Amino acid sequence: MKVTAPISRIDEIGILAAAGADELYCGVVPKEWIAQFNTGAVNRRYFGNLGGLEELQQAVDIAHRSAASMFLVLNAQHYGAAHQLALVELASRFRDFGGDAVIVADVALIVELRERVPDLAIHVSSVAACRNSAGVGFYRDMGVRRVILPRDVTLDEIGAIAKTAGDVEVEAFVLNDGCVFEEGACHSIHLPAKQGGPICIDSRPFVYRDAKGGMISARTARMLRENDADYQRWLWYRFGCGFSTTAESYPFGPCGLCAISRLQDAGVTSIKIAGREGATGRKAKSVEMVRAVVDRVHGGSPQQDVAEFAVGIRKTEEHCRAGFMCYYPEVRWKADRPERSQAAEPQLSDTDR
Amino acid sequence: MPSVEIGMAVVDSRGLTALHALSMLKVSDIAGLLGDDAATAMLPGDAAASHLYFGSEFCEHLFPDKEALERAIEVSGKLGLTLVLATPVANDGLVARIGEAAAALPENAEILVNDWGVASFLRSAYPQRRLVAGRQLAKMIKDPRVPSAAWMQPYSSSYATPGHRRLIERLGIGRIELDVPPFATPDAYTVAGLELSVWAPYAYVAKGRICKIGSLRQELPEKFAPGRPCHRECQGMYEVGVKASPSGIVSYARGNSIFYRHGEAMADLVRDALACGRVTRVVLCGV
Repeated sequence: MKVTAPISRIDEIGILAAAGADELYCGVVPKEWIAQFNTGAVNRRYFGNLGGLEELQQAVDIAHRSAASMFLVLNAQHYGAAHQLALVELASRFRDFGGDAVIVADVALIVELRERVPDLAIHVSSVAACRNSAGVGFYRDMGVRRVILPRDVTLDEIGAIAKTAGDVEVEAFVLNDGCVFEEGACHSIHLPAKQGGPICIDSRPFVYRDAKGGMISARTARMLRENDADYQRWLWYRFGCGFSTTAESYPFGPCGLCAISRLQDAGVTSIKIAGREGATGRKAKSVEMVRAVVDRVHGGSPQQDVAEFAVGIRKTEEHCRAGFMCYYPEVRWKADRPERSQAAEPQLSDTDR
Repeated sequence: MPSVEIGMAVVDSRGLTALHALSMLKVSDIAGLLGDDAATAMLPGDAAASHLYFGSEFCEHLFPDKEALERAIEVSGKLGLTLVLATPVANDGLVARIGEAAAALPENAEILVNDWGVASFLRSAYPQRRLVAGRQLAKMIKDPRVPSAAWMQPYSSSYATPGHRRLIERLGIGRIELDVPPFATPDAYTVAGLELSVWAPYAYVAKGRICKIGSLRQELPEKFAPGRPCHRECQGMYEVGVKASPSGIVSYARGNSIFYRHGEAMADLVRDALACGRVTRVVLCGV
């Protein structure tokens, strides 16, 4: 199982590869794109992109020298016809640089790329919201190499998909940056804070009404207030416990470390660390954590020992026990599990880093 | 006005009871059932509905059971309406249930798909079944809070591009359904060779798999996670937001999704698109 991590600058490649990333992904905003479309919106992020084609070529070269693959994100939900043609040209250049795959969400762009740049591998983005085996089959027929599953799939669902995926690789989320809504079905814009910010954390109030528009009963209203408070707490976890880190700089936020054994058993090809726009240190610590756990899984450690080690990295068992920080809460940490073994002190050693 | 197909969307099977009492479904009846005269203002009150949409596009938990589906088949048959089974993004288990439902539908029924996997499965398993591409497959920016049309420009929609068209044809889909985004222009409803539907007066902005209201009766550690049981609390309540500034558009949250109600310019656009025949079906819905 490979570890896949984001970069936004070429000097991050060596750092993340040394920390244990097998695969890297990046975005780019070519000056030709800005000249043609008067926008930096090539993918889903205005920030965290390489500055041009020259940097993209360097990124591929450096990654390959570091024994890592390099993928290019072209992952907006949708592009117009002119954008698609420009992206076909960009993908063609990336292929010429030796790039390993493009990450694409728009099915129309996948059709165009398959026909016009057939020798470049395509990974279906999590933004495409492929959540079933029939979907994987659909994309297999389109000639893709990998499907990145969306957030908020269960381990059983991942297992069922991976079992029937055949020669299509399956990638699943493991760390950082949890959207509230499904990326493929959220048609909002991350507006500036004064205009509301991301819609999922827009604090402007909503008022409950019954199905006919009438007032909610006092008892139900009380239950709703409590549920809303729980939801706010879940949101805090979903957004990285307030985008904070441990004293050792390990990031909080949506996490699937305890599930890596299950993902490995399911046949998942790679696990994805999100957060292309994050700081270099955050990315490096993220890769370090995931690599340490993956190495234990590859070394044959029992699932419970791996989970115990994973939970111990951040030294905040209470967050893990809460379950709200989990990508896969069905394997939420429960310290009182009877099968708990006497694992070694769960700290990263030099060999884990 | 050219001939326009008129659909009414029903998510909750309890909504079928009131329909069963009618002998035919007219636009004025829909206004009464939705409790919303303004929702149907672009149509003559005595115009007859043609389609009954049943089920949820947004939630796997709201997919109808066998009994509800049989009821919808009965009601649509009684009223002379073409049944359209609405389906959401699905996991493997739900894909199988959609397949069972597809086998039970009348010959002229349609299935509204919002998942390429579901579309591909149905085309393979039921090649004669008419499929309609739902709003989740026609991506567009629909944020009701954006202050100007400039915010909508960076990413054009792809549902009218040649690649999308080839894919739709390959799947044998002849109709696509759209929302009306803020600052929409008539060219958004010009897609050669495909029939277009528009939903009114509510458009959806976002949907998640995590459902706040669906966690109301869950114990704390089990809340806000996929794959949990649901008590369908969303069928009994929704949330109303404040008016967005400067558009004045009002947002709503129901279940796992956020919606907005069309503003005046959006309603005018729907009326014009129907009048000139660019849109051939309108689906009238509640929030």
